Amino acid sequence: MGILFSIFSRRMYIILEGRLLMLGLDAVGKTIILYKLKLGEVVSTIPTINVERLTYKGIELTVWEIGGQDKIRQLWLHYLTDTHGLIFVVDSNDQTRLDDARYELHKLLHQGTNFATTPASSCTFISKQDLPHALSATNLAAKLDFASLRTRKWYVQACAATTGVGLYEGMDWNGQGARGDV
Amino acid sequence: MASDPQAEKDLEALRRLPGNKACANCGVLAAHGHGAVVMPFATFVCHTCKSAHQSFSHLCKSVSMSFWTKPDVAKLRAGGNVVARSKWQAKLAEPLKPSPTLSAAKDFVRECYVQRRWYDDAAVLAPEAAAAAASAKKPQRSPPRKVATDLVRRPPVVLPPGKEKQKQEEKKKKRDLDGHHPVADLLSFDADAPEPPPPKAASSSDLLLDMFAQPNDTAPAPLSAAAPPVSLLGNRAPPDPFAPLPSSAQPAMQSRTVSSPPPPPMVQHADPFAGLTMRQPTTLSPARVHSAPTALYRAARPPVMQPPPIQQQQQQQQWPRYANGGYPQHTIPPPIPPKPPGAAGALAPTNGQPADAPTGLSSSAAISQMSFF
Repeated sequence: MGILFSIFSRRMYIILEGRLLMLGLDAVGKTIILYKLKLGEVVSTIPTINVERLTYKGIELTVWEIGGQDKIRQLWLHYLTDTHGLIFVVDSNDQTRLDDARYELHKLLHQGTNFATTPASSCTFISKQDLPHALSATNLAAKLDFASLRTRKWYVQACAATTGVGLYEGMDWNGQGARGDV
Repeated sequence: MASDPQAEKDLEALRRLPGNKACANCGVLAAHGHGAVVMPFATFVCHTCKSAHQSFSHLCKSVSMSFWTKPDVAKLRAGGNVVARSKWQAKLAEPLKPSPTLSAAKDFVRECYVQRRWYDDAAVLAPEAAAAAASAKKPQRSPPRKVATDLVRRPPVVLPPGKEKQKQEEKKKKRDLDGHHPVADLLSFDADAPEPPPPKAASSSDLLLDMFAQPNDTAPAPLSAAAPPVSLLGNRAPPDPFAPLPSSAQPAMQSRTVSSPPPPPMVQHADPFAGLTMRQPTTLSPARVHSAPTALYRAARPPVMQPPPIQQQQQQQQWPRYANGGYPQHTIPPPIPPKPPGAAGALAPTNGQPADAPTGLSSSAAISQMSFF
């Protein structure tokens, strides 16, 4: 009986756990998204590497969030190992650095493919949609050139981290990705 | 793209200048200078104020964690906290208290840089005066501050009730400045203040001299002194981060309101090339992902002792005897890898398994020790 129970619980535990990696250029709102999901509030931050465990709809998610300053972008690749999903955050209000974001995303995924450490899926949060100069998610998806990411499941979600609009829709998709449903 | 070491060195010196040690917004002092830079306004700010700027998507860079180029540093050298304060907070009566809360800092940034409540065009002249003072070999940054206070002490301009009009005028002035029309600048200056102080002839000649002087980019000593002419021009036409963007999506953005954001559009494309690709998309089976304990166990087992395969090959291989030294055409024998003298005993024992098989950890420790000596 005990053996049965332990097997059952371990199996459940295995299924309901996921590891997500959240990346993006500096000052796009990664930490704010993370702490909005974790605590439901907005915090002020310094450039960071944060790890938080979230329980979202019965799935235990470990979210690794790595800073996006120029010099620590080179560390991103080393966090890709054994991640179930990648969350890439893009600032829709900052059109001057869209090219940088596209370059970094494609470089990372390309390098990840070479290292065979590629995550199963990548969800892109288009943040700061509440600001007046924000581009729409459709526009941004075209500019980030997702069509060239052929072998990857991807999903674009517009959101505003300060209000929490759109975060849970994206996390739904991530949760399904971690479970392997998508 | 990489960072310029010389630029970083200059930046370190700039950040430790007394004028830049106080945060441009709240004035809190940092012993070694602040670590964040707001690029559109060329200011050094504290962390709270940096967060406030970031929420308005002003480009912020970190002194230690961003890449820096010489033009960036030149811009900072021409700007800096004193110049920025004299320009953006010219009409400010009550400055922000040091180390504010995030919401207070955000309100301040909104009023100061977004709504431009305390902005003064006339203070754009300050960097020129600073350059003139620099050409007179004055090391301190006090001259621009002095000029700025003089400008602040002008008879206060009574704001008309229609703020929109004034904003439009300011924008117009900006456009004139962008086009590098000094005449238009003077005219607007006259229109703005009833009794403008006459511009100093000496300072303008000094400015000319300075413009023809060589820009000293590499000389680190007169950091607070001469600014290269390019940055001077850049200051006469300060970058306008709030200017209307030339993108085609502009009207759609303007039609939106902040209070009611549209429902977020969801984009999900079926992959048309999924069946055609050579590489299968990686699927993560839970068993594979959570096999870490097993992997650890495998790593902890003693390593399998095997003689190096290259040596075996060399022993077994018999080259046909040709006239050219016994080697076939276009073939070079594989080089014998030099074995480390210490590690050889542990890795490749001559008589198969050693008598006492060590555990993985201790054997690896032994190897590292031996190879170390």
